[in-house]
Amino acid sequence: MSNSLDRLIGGIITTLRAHVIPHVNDGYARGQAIGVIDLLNNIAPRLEWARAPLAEAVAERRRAIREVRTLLPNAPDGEHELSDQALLSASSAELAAERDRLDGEISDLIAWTHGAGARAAGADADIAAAIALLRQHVRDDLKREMKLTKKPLFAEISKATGGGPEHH
Amino acid sequence: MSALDTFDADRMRCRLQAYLRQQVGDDVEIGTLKRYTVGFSWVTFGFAATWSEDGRRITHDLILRIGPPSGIFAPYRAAPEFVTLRSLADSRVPVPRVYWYSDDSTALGAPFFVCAFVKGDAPVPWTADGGPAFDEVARLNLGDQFIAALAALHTFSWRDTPVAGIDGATDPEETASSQIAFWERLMRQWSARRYPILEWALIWFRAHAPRAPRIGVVHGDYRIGNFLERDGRITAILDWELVHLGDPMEDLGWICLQAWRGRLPYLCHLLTRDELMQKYQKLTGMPIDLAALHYWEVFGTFKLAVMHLGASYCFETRDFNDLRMAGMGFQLPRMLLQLESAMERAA
Repeated sequence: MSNSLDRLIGGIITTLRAHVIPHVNDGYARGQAIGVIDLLNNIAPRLEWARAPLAEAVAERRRAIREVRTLLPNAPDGEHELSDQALLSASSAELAAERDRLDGEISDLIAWTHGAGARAAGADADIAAAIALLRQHVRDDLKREMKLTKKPLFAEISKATGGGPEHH
Repeated sequence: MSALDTFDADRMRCRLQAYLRQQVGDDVEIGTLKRYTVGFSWVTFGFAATWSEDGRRITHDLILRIGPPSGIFAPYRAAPEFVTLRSLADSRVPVPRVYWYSDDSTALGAPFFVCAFVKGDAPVPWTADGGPAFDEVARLNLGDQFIAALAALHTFSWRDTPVAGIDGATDPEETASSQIAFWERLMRQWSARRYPILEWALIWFRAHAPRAPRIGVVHGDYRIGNFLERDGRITAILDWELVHLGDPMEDLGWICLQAWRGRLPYLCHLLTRDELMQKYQKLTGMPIDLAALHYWEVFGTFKLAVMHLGASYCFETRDFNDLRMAGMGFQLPRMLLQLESAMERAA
């Protein structure tokens, strides 16, 4: 779960102001650090999360749900989803909300396919196929997310913050 | 007293000195507080305190650990960790000596405890090139001590000690369900968004919950990064905030997490899986059930993913401005993918 853009930018500015700039002694470096704050202040009102990955996330979830419902027509319905037309004009925030709603619907389908309701309503082979389909969707979705996820700098951070010598 | 500001070391020092004067006597003097930035949860300060003992002025190097209201596991309680460390003082588990604690926020603005400073390095699981943290000699040496300390903890006779009063499950049938409930509650508190693989994991945990072979003291975060090493010796096991009574296999599963070894075969950079099992079984006399070990490895991966949700939540809502917390939020897909893989391997 990434944080909201507002909070991330606010947090970066706070960290620079409170914990970095007071310890920067070189004049040029100090000016540049303040320049970063100036830029962030101006970038912030112009930013939103990239739309394309969110639109793809929504489309892939809808496809997975549709395929599961084809296999198991008696599966419980989800909440009303955004129309195709609404999706085309949806903002990033609306797409993120729809992605999260669809994740809830997929979670409900996962629970339902593992419960007595599915066994009463569908053939074992169809249930197994639906479970496999849901699992593949989950795996593929996480792999897509990983393409956007950079390797963490934990080693560098630990070294900088004294993750080694002489401390409790 | 005002609310806690963990970056105001001068004010904290005044409050701490007032507290220590109540505990030890009016002649206590303490030096400047040095804040350590290694942890993500409790805030840690080092300081020197001098007081009179038998007519002599003695200086003690001490550690103050404070559970901030904005921290990931807030509201904190110092008692479980303090009680456990005090009870383990004469055991074969290397722990810092503890002095005082309070779960009342009056004195310092938040729950806290004071313990001895222990010298040593805290090796971390992240290396610059993703390679081993130790050479082979150090790996084997520290691996032996790492398992010996865990075996000592898991065979510790806790029933007639104050540790019997800490949280957890003492019914072998309830250890897994107790942990599932604990972490599910935190997951729902920290994230309104429902992540399908986390929901799937909960179903799997309930369907495959093992019976604990015995009840022991579970550290809850036993891994590389949470021990100190000096001159080839593990000098202290740290970070007991998740300590509870439960299934000792839980700690073993946590050691197995991919997050503590990357692509290396060495669990926590210290032991192969075979070495872990052989050494633990030899030291404790307790056989390891492979299915249970896998179960707790999957559960640990789930727990770590939930901790990432918590870090992100704290950053977003509690004004906890450590950018590492926000960074953890971005790593959630990595944790969820590791969870999916761990479930697949255990199936």
